[in-house]
Amino acid sequence: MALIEVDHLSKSYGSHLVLDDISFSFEGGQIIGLLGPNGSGKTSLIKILVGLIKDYSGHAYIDGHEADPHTKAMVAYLPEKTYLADWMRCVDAIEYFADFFLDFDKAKAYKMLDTFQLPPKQTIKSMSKGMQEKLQLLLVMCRNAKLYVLDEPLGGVDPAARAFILDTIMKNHPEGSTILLSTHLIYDVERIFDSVLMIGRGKVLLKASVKEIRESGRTIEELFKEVFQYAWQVD
Amino acid sequence: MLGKLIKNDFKSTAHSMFGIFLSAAITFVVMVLVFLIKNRTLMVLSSVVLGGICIGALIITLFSIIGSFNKSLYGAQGYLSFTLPVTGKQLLASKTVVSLIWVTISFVFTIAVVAFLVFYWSAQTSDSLKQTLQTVYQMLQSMQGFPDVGTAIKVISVIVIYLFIKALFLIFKVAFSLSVANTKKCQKYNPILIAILIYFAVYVVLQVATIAAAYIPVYLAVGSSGIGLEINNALIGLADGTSIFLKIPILGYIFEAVVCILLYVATGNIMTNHVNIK
Repeated sequence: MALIEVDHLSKSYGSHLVLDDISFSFEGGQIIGLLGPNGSGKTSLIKILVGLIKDYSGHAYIDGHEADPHTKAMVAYLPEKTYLADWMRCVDAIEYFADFFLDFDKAKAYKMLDTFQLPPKQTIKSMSKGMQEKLQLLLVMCRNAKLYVLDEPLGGVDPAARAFILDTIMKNHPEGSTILLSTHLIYDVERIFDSVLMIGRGKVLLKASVKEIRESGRTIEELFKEVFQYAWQVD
Repeated sequence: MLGKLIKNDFKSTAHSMFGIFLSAAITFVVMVLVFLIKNRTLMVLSSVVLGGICIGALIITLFSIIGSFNKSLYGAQGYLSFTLPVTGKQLLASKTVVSLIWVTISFVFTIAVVAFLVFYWSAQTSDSLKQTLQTVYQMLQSMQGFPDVGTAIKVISVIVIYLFIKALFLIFKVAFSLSVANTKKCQKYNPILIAILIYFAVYVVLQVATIAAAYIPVYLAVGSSGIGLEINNALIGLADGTSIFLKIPILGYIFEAVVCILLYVATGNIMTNHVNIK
């Protein structure tokens, strides 16, 4: 059974159709790049998969279930937004995750707090955006999840931070787990992907393994430019 | 998981409530001190402050209930709340329990403050606390005849259940309004404005129904011989000549309880199937 399966999925905002009857599936145990320019529907697709958007047609399954407590227990989701309450301190956030996620490694989280140089008693409210992002990344990567869904973790950060984030992801995800990582910054991440899914104009424009892409003699970035050149064409 | 949700929701809301109760405790200490030094100006001033804190506690409780739904479910924190391995109904149940706890605390706090202020000022004018208690007792006796302890417990129980339903009703109206405002159809408008409109629409419908129900002369009556009904001035389940200490229009009471259940089911369903987190 596929770990991620999307079947005739459509989602619109008013008259704007962002996902138009898309279908695809992925087996587990790989790193999947969800690629597309801004506004291509990557975040909508992710929000449907994790259960934050409920008004869509079609189906989106994780491990054979549409978003429910079973899928939420196995998915570690990192959104673009800061989702921690501002009164929380790092230690409160760690205890919160430990309370709800059975796969959360509390000891590792406290260790990583030190590595990330995050003061345990500092409140979220008084942290810089970078520190908040670090803390959220730490919380997500301290879970031994079956599937990591990371929505634009590299967006809006400098190259040094990008390297740090990628390094954290690669070092901390358990063997055999799956990562679905959405991004429009291909250059930094193409080396880590096993498969890519390119979406745009509401459709799946390409689904391929990196091996297939390399065999065609191109890089993911070259293919991305080719697939999405429409987005920048002037009629 | 429900227990963990309640624990964390309580911790979260306690942050906004902590300050007000701390202020009350400090004011209480100040009031006792100024009483001992017999400074009348400071006594008046601190009493006014305590009264203000009491009103503040009620207002903050209301905002805390609104915030617990609006901020932690439908704001950015919703990205975490709705991706926890729990159901929408568990989220709603947790927030309801925690809101109810705070409403109860605030209510008990208000009663305690009022009682304290009565005794505080009575003690200032009377010779002793015993005399004050006697005055209060005589006041109650002169009202309708003082009920015996058993009847008093029944009266208090009925009032507590009545207030419990009122509190639940308030919480569910807030939860329902905010949840509807965050569904796809309403999200294109200002969610807060939509929530306020829905809240008042529900309020108006319920007020009309409650007023209409009050015209039907069926009352829950608590008297010296027990609890029964009073229909068209005839007592059912109560002995003739029973002194009635409390009368509540029962149809409005039942109607509110039924609407509470409907709002809970509807809100749980909306949260599970229709809400989009922006």
